[in-house]
Amino acid sequence: MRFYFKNSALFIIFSSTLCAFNLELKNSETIVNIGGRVELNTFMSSPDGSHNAQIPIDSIEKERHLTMSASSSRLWLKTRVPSKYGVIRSIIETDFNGVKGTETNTNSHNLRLRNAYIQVGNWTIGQTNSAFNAYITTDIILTAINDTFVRQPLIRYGAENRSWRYDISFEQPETTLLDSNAKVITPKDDIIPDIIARILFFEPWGDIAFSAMGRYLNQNRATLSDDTQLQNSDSALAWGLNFSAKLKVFKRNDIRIAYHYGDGMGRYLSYDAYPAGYINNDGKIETQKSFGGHIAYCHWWNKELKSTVALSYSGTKNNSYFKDNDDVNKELVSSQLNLFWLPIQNSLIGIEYAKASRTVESGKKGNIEIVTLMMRYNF
Amino acid sequence: MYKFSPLKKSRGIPQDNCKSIIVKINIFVKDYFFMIASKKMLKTKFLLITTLLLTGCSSKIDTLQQDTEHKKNSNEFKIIMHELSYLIYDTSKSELEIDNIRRRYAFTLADKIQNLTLQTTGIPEEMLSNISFSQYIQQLNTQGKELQEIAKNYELEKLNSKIDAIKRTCTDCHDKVRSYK
Repeated sequence: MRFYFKNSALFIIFSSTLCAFNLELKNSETIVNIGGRVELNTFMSSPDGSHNAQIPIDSIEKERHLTMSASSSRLWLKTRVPSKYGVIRSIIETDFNGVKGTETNTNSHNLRLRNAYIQVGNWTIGQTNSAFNAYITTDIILTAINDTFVRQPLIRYGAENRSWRYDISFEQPETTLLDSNAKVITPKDDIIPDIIARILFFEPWGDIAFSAMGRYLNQNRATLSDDTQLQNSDSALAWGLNFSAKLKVFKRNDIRIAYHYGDGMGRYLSYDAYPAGYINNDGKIETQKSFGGHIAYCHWWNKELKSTVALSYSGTKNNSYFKDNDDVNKELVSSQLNLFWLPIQNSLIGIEYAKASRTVESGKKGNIEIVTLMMRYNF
Repeated sequence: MYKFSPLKKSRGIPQDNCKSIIVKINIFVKDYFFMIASKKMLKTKFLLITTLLLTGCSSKIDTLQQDTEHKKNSNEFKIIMHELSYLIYDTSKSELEIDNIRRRYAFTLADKIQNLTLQTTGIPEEMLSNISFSQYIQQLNTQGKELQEIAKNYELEKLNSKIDAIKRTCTDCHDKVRSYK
């Protein structure tokens, strides 16, 4: 049995006679890697809020708030074992962004499952990042306001060589609909997985990723937010497209862009800022269009210092029923500027200024400014 | 009558080589001699001079090309190693996804190493034998193959130490080149 420590050339060979503990593995050829991340984030936000669809509306007079948290620290365990189908790899990855601990005394944030999946041959099975996610992300501390990020159970088939990769993925469906009370409901009547196809190109001048998604929204005697139970069923087809790219310019610097558009894309965009569609009091589903994009320029000052300036946007076209509503999101805009420093290997220190705004259907707007200091060490 | 054209492509020298000032001068000189020779009908002498010049020039061009290609590959090599070091930036990808990226970089590095080891044909023979460059080439070639095996078998915990070893080989070889010059 071999026991590796991540990023180390050394490995320790344990034998049951020498060890003070037993590590029970199902295969003598299994290689276990344990690693993790210690991270401290310090946020100074004005007003108190977060950089997503929860930006407070018309809150100019509210005070600043300083928060510190180590809940983004992670722990992961990976295994690798040869088999007749190729190398079988698995991972269980957690962080501490589960149930939030109180800041008053102990900050006892709970463990949360991030990834749990295996990869064997061309197959990926388990919970991990959706194939619809923008593959090319931007080096910023707070996620871009238009982020297309979903992590869910899936079955994925993929193939790759050195310059391209393609995937087809069957992922957990979840219909999110806005009812006439301006509340999002999840009918839990899904019957077909979300189907996503993705293709990636890796070229010397940069990377390109493109994904397309088809999904089936369904409600069968769903319960609305006011506890009214519908007596009918309805369904709708929805789709989304996601394009992201990194173009290398001037030595190590690069420009990163992303664009997403879809009808009924819903929860896949901006962390569920917009629903996939509207459900009226008769149970009829109408999908709604949503869209977003970002552009970022990453500049290396030297081998250790790097900055990114990023602009991001996302929006939706809500049903006219919500024209004067204060609770229904219309658009999100953000700009970010940061400086990262790589002081030693596997460590990262970054400071970032972000300014974002949220506009709701009634036209009301909320702004937020956040300064974030992040200190990270991977072990 | 021959028309004087310093950068005429049909002279048998690829247009890409014209980027270098030395190459441009060489072409200019060749064309100049061709023009003189045509005027005076001294074809035999002209052919002799041109042949001598072309031999000298092409040798110089090859060395320059070799040097440029080596530098280009070395720079790309450095950029890939730098990119590997800042994968820590990514916050959304899982560790296995990051391993996949590292694996792809490892394959690319292995390819670059293969290119680098193939590009030694332009180095003068006496240089190769005098300071044992062939040993470095062999060592780098072996390390490239080992890197490829690491990537193939997903043994990515060995990646950093292998890259460090490759860096040492490159540095030692470059130091010897400097001392030789």
